[in-house]
Amino acid sequence: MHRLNVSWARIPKLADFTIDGEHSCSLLKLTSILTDSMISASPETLDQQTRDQRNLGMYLVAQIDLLAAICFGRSYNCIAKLESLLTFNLLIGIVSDTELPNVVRASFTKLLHRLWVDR
Amino acid sequence: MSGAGERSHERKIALAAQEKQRALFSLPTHPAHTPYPLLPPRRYPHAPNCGRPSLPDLAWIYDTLEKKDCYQDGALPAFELGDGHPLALSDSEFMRMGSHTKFFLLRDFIEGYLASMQGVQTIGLKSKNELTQAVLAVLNDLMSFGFFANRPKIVAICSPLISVLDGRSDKMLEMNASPRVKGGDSPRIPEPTFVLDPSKSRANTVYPISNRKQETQEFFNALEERKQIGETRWETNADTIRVMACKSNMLKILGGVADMRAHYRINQLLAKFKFYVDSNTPLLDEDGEIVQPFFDDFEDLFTSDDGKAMDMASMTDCPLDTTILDLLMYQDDDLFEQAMGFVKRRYGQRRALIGFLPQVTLLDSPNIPVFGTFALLDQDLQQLRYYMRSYSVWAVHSETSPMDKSIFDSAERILTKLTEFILSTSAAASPLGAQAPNHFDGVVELAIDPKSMTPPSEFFRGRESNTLYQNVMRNMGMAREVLFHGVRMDFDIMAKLNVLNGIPMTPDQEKETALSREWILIIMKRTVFTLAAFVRGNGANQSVLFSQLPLLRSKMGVGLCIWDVVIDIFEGNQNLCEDCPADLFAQFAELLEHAKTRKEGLRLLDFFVNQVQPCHGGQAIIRNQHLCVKALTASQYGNTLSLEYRAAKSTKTELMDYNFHAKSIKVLAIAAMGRNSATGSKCQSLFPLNQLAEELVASTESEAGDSTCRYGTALLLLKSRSPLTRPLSRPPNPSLSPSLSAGCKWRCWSLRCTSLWTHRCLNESSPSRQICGTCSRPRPTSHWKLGRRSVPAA
Repeated sequence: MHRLNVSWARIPKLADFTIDGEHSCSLLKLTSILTDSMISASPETLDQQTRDQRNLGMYLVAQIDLLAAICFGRSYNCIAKLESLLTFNLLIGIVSDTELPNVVRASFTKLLHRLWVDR
Repeated sequence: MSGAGERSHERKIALAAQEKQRALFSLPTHPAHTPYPLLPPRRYPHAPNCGRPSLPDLAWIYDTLEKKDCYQDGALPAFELGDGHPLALSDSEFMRMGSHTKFFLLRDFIEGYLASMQGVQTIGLKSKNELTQAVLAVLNDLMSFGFFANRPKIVAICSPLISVLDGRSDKMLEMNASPRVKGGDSPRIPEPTFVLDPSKSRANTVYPISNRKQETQEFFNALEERKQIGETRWETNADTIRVMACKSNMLKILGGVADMRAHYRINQLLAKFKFYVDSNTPLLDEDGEIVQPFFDDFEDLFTSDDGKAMDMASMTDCPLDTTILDLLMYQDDDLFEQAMGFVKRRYGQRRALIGFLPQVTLLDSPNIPVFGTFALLDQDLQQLRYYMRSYSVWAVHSETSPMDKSIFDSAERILTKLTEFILSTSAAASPLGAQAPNHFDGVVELAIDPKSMTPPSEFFRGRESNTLYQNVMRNMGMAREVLFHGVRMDFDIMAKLNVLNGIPMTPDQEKETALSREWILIIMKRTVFTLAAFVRGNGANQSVLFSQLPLLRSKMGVGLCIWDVVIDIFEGNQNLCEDCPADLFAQFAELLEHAKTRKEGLRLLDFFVNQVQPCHGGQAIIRNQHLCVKALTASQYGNTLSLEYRAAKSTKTELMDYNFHAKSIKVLAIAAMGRNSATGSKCQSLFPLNQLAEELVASTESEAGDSTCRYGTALLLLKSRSPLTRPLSRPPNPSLSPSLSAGCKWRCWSLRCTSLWTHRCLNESSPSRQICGTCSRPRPTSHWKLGRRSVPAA
């Protein structure tokens, strides 16, 4: 199920790091990239493409974490801005998707918590 | 799967089809000035404690008490919007939902997630444990906000939660497992030996011994592995710390369930109490003891089926005690504390309930002055809390939102009503037994001028706070949840934001900045007035505010008159005065130094009077006597007291000056009382004997004196048992002290006298009394300082 499509085409530097030769992909593509063993593997043991893909995935996770952080403590301005973009239904769909990597689900759970529950 | 689960599953599939493809990374590339959606003026924030002031609730209404079954909706505290709430008319379906089923999708997800763990956490599986941590944080808030509102829901979540809590079933990730566990370096497990005794052999009746040996070996291997993992999982390292954090969060969630249980039981007990009162059944016997039937009813709260239904042990098959004992073995302080707290709650349920009862305030009826009903008061408090927390939205013009006058007016109105409510009188002074309904005073709005520097005590002169309503407000968490947020506000927030932008402000922006500052200051000032009404003469409320004394002190001196509230915190409270921070004396001395009016100075002197002698006519606090004298006589605060007054009292100003003078003397008097020689001698240096005598004569003979001044002067004279009023039994022997030898010069102790003393000077002026010949102040000697009376032997 494609619930969220990630695009980095507008960020030139990131556009160099593509997944499957595209500038955008669904979250499900991250499943094989952000496994625990991949995340904890040292960069030397990975080839260039895998390393770039992993960095790109972690960049997405960091961005979601950032969104969660700016909503922390009931920051109403940020919540008001983000709630129309990241709806409750969208987020509950992502966190319920067991096929997604745990690290992505954890980040979206934090976002769901701070955007829709703790308000 | 339950009906709700099926519903949620279908909903998820439908949502997946409906949701548009979204591009997260394109968020930063949106036009910078895209208009943000305006904040709805009355968004209902999900409130902790299930939307109540505290959990268990400590404010109850006698008329509405009713015994409830814990399986019913409404028996446990739950999230609800309430009748007539503004959000009920919201366009958003999500925001309109006013019942505890609002997050049923999320609840289903959490239940499913915990059940899928099957009671096992894997140490070393970092991402999975992070996800568990995030899920538990959501669960903790959902529980706190009241979205688990009946027993079936609580059981559904507690059962898998407690099984995950049991760390004995946790596994170690294979790649992280200790090499010893894998068998490389592990000590050889002694193989069990089987000696066949032909007479007892049942080889032909049971399965072959080889099978038994293999099973035994597996058992020992598993046992050894559990042992190895057990020792490893208790240690703190990068992998186990996440698991420990998860278990700590689980215990917090179970603590929330325990609070709900206590709330339920208090309701049951009060309902039983109401039954006894309504049926005129005596609660006390002839000896004044509680009657046995009521004891039995109390015990039923814990032992009956209904009472045990909310017990944690009845919700799970897991051995709870063993689980908790295992948790105590972890090398994590937080987890240990949580586990110990859980044990205490589990085995101290009766004590916890009895502990809560004295704090409960029981109102006769839901009708209250000013607000009309208790429900409206609760709703207004919730709204005010939201306004306080979101002031950076409605009181600041930013790219995200304009300033909102309607919210400002609403917040100001609620604060005014709260102050009026606390100051209102009630005929039903006693919560029970008074047959008369609550007396309504009617709203008299407090006309507080935001630019006025009149302290609350001056404004409230002649009006006493209603103790019952003060207690209600405390139990509803008004100070903790609402007013402290108001004090924390930053009134310069908009100016700071403009500075951060780095763009020069336009005239319009400057006006808005000034308006923003004025609004926030008005709200803060109203908050201070409400705090003053809240704390006056109420020991428990004083303790609540004392816990936030650093916050209040940080706002002293910015024109909010918050020092007046600080004075009220200590008013008549001996215990708090003994714990008063030492540097607060210097802070008040500085305020006294810079007091703009005598009236303000008079009120500030009350702080020192309270601190030294909290109870009128009671004992003085020796520590505070020292601190008071030290602060008031410090060189940088030289003009704090008024020790001389010879003018008339014809005008209002003169009268105020005289009162200040009289109170100054009183401060010195009580600072010297109780045989405190150190402070006594210091006070006498400021107020010598001849001046005392003159003051007494003048105050008795002239119009300038009155009873207050005479009282203070006489106190200073009589209560200080220092060498001034107790002549030395023998003159100092110069031969014993080299510094008293002829020719050795002493500077007069008084800072205002520059004369030098010599031994001869002392002898000539007043050898026995040792008074300075120039300024008539007593000579300091080493054995007078700091209360030491070690007069050298002749």
